[in-house]
Amino acid sequence: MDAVPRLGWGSAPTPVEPLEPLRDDVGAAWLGVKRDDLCDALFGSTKVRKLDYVLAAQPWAEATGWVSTGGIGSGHLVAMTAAARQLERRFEATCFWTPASERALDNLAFVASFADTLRYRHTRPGMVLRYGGLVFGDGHDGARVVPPGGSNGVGALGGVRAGMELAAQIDAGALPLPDRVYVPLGSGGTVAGIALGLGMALGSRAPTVHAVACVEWPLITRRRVYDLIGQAQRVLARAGALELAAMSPAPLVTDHRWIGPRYAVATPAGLSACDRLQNVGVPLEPVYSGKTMASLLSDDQKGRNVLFWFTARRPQTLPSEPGWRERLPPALARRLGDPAGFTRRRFVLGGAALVAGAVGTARFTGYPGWPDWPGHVLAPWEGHVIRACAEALLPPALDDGAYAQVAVNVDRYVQSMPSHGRLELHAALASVEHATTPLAFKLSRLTALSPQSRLDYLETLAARGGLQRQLYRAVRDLCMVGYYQQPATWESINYGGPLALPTGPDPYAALVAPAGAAPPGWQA
Amino acid sequence: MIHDASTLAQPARIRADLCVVGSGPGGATVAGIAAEAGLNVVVLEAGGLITPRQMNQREEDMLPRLLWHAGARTSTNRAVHVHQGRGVGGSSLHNLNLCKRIPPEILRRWVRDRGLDDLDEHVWSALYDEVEALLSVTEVPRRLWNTHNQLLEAGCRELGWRHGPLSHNRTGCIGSGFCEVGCAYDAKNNALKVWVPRVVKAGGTILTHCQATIVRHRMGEVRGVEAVIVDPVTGAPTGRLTVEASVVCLSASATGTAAILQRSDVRDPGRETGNGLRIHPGVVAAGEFADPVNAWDGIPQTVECTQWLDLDREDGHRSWIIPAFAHPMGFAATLPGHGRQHRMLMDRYDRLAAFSAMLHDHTAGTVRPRGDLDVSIDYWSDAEDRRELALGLHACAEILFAAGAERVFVPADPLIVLERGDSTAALKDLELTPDTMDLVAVHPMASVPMGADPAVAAVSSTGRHHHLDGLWGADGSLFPTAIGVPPQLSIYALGLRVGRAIAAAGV
Repeated sequence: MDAVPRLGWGSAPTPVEPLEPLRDDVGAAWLGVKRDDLCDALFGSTKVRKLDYVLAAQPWAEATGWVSTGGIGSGHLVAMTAAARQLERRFEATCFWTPASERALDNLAFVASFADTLRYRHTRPGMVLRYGGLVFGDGHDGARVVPPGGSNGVGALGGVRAGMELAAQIDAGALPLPDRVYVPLGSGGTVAGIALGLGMALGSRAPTVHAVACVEWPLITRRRVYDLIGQAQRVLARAGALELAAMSPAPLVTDHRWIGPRYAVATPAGLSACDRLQNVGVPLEPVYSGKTMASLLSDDQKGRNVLFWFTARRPQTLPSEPGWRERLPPALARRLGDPAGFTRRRFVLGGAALVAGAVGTARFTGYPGWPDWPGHVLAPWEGHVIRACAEALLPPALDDGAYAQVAVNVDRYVQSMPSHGRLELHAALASVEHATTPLAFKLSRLTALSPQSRLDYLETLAARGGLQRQLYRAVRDLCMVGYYQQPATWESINYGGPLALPTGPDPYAALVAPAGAAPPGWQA
Repeated sequence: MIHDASTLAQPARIRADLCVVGSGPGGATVAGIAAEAGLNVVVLEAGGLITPRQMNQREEDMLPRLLWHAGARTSTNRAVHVHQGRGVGGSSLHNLNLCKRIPPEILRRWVRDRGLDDLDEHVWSALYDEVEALLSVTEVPRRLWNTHNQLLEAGCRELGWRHGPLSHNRTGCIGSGFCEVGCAYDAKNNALKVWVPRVVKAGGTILTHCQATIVRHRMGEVRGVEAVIVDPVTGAPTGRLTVEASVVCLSASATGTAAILQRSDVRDPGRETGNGLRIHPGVVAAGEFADPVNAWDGIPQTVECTQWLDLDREDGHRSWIIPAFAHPMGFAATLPGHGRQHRMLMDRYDRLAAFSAMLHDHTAGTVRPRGDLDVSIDYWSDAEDRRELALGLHACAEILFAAGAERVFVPADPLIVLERGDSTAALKDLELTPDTMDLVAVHPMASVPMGADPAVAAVSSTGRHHHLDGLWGADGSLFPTAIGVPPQLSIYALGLRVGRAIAAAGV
């Protein structure tokens, strides 16, 4: 770990405290809390651990400023603002609306007071559409984008260090070896790092990391966490810290039951958990740690050693400038002044969503069954799309079985496509199937059109060039590949097919070790 | 021995003196020489062992095993199809066995521009002599030329254009014509046949389904390789392998080697790695003849037309014209259009001849890693190269008509059809765009160009990396420019040179 540069924040281990009164309530053998709110840098929180690595790494270390995003009450934006003040960098915050709780307003006041620029959109999609380059891009004018939550492969190293720190505390007897460690799951970097750090330090003894999602699926997924683990492993491997084979993460469970209506909205279960922890002197906030604690309290903990990882900042009121509200973008100031004004808007949007949901349900379902569909790569509905395209694009007068066989052949052929190639294939088939409405003004999806209408639509795509032509080419090529690999098509083109093949023993067999026979020096 | 890593316990580690990444002409040669010199060699191969007995001459079975992405790898704009091989033996499993030396003038330019004083045309010549003997390279006799190649010769003769026979590395060829899907008759003197048995005999280990992702290094020294073990069918990761080795040779092709170097954060002050990619893009014209051509039948590519290839001058023409054909699945995907128009072309399958103009390209593309296991290729020919490609296309059409074609098809979108007697002049001014014309490339190269100056080049003329001790390269990525000829002979030659340098340097 020392081979990777860091700022040195959060070097002292944060304390682990038993939660004796609650232990009896949940029936655990041992219950405790890891107090990252008492982390010694900035205002505390696990976010400091991530920034400790991110801001010391290139390109952020040499940047003249940083750009990052979060909700209006984002603890990450607070930590970024504080870090920029301490390290004398410019900071641009881009935020979206979340409920304006007292704590959220306290965070916003701090960011509005001390960030150099504050941008705002009402929604996350709106923010991405308007400021996408500031969320996913590289940055501008010497300022570099820090990913949301500080979560990338480098930021996750803060979690790795935290996991190893906990392992050291376990080995030192500060707490028994936990069976489960509950951690809020936001942007994923903390969970990824802790799981990896515990796995590296404790190996097969590592506890299960129980990650409670506080951001909606699919914005955060188990797969995303493993992606971040992989990124962190590569950063460490490149730095020569360890070999990848020696870096297995702890077992990971992701729990998406406690998010409630959406991100940053307090839930009754989360608020109740806050109350119970407040009673034992731990000041939770409701949208991350409250929901995580709610999960812990609801699970069967009988006889287990359980640790709750408190990742939020200290509950102190943050400093702010007296006129911070005047620095807010006008749209945010209006919304803060009249949050009820959005009820009508929500009503209209909700109605539109209902209609869209009904239409979408009809649009995305109702495919005929395909009992013997092999499904190596493609779903049955995708088989129907290829079959429908084949019917439109291949020579006429084939029977339906021939078109279906094209789809089956394609499903088999694309098995060796890499994962991103498969994703592109799925996206292409979905686009071809459903872009009939926006691109050709047809109300039905492709598979519900007549063969002639399908052909008209596909020819429209081909004629328009660019991405639309690429969609046409993708399904056209698949149809040709699926069709002309069939020996039944060869006679008509006077192609004889394979010749007589040699038989007998394989002359290369002597070079091959039996399956499962390891080479000399193979250590599993 | 050859071990299928996907059948072994994972994750795992293994120790070696030398880890070679890739088992194609470069990697297999390096591995063979190093193993015979007494080094403990481990070769990592992303694909599987595909022996001639497994080659069933069916495109749908063989192309997914022999080619990356089942042959569907493209540039980011989807308009350039880049066919690259995998499996023990690399691209030599599916290539068409063409063997040509790099023209001396190009080698002299490399000496002049890249400071390759110790790798001049005389050194290359000696290496070529050795490789040609090793691979039994011989000119394909006229009696074995199929109708397709005879038409190219006839067209050139009619036009008075420069042409001639080509040399191949084949022994015992029966002229089946299924070379592109692997030779079931083991007639290709390829890396699998020539070098792999020597690697095994000398005690080397070849691990299949094992794809290297990064080179491990610390304090300017190589520590080994991190690899992913992949599922034999889907290519999905199933486990990890760490190879501990103080010497690593990257021979993972011009795309794979450049991607691994970038993924590994290997120092590169000249920033050339991944930025000078050449691919020899090609365009095709097909001619319809009255009598059957059966272009798929017999030895492919035995005659060349070099009328429009003048590599002795830097501003000379750069199109190399050869016959190019495919079996039905690949051919159908190459033809434009759909429905009746496409069927009209396929109905003429047995009476079509197709000639390809392959460009000695000046355009520099880029290759970047895409995740752990893939690459992203950004390439589209610049205006000058597109003009040369259009000239090459025109030349193909001229040869086809001169050989007796009744009409010529240019697989553009929309399809261009020229009847006998039509002027072909418009083809010279054809504007090639990603929406109207696909390019096909089978020779990626020059992505990690060798050079003497460490401030500019990442790799020296012996394949040794200038900025990381213990790291070597031996594949087409090392060529400083496009080479204007098929690369396999030169990659085997580089393998000899790099392998001997590694053996001499020891561990």
